Amino acid sequence: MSLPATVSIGSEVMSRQVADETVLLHLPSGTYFGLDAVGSRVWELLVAGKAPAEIVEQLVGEYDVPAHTLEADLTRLLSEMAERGLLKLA
Amino acid sequence: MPEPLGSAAVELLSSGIRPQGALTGVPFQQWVFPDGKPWASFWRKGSDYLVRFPDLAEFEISADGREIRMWRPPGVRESTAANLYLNQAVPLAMSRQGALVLHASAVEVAGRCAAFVGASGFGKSTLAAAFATRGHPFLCDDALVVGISGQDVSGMPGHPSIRLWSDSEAAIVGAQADKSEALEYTDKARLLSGAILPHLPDPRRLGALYFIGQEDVPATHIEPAPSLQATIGLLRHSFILDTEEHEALRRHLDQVAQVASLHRCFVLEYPRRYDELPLVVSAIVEHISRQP
Repeated sequence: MSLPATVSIGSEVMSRQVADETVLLHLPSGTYFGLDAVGSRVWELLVAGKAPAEIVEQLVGEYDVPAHTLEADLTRLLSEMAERGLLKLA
Repeated sequence: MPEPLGSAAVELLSSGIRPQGALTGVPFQQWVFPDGKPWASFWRKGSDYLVRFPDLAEFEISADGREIRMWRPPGVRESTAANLYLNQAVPLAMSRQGALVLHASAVEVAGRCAAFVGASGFGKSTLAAAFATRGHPFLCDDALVVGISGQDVSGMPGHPSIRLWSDSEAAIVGAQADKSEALEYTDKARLLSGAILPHLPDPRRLGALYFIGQEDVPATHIEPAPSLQATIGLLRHSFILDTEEHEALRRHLDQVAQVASLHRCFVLEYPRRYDELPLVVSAIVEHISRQP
């Protein structure tokens, strides 16, 4: 599993920020997905149109975590969100 | 037929007897018990809804949630259907009107609403009764309508009765409270409000909302529920009639996020022993008195 080149947010996904966390609602299934503070920052960057590689670059500057760890964590998160219909990966 | 308070916008158009015939197609939502036994199925009937509780009752709810027709099969007592009407059909109909309705009991403490959120069997009614018998009137027993007006969030009163298992009834209330007729689908008794169990028929500003934990702990423990946990908990414990209507889901998420953002949501763990209930009540009263 490798970092996807591009990601698009599903058109039937709604998000609401609660404090520094985010809840995503997948409208077709009515299911919810919670993002912690770091996940919320990823979501914010996705909404801003950043590609996964750009997100890794951005987060390396914000968190004290090695790039390869961030890349692995982001790959896993994006994959899980895609499985739930929240994202499309390419 | 008891009238649900706080739900004047829901009108019971008719109550009758008819067999539960076969329904075609598939329900758009089902509720099942943990053992897999069906509890309720939700069907579309044109733009309206049919909610069926197998062999107990079924309710036709109008598309706007303002009108309900109630049916019970031959042999089922009206009190059974009426109880399902109050505790299930009305909350579902009110959700259709745009209200946030939680699986929660609520009581008044120091002029504010303390709500107890949890699944069936977690002790919502027991806590409501324990507070009521100690001078804190209850607002509702099982379904709390949350009024949201701008930044103001309030608990609204519900039907003036509490459903209790016989052991809770004996330990907390005794034999003094008036009861409605026995129900066919549960051994719980429905106790009517009165001097023993005072009911508050007015809204109160939400002071604190407690998610009831599952653990049996030696002493009462209350801690803040993180915002995400509170949001998911409120979503999980809401009544929603139409789980496929996107606008209703959007509105519901907005409402829940607003309540979770108040930072008045807590996780409550308490000893599951009747003789500890006075201390549990005291701890919660003391806790809510410290909230801004």
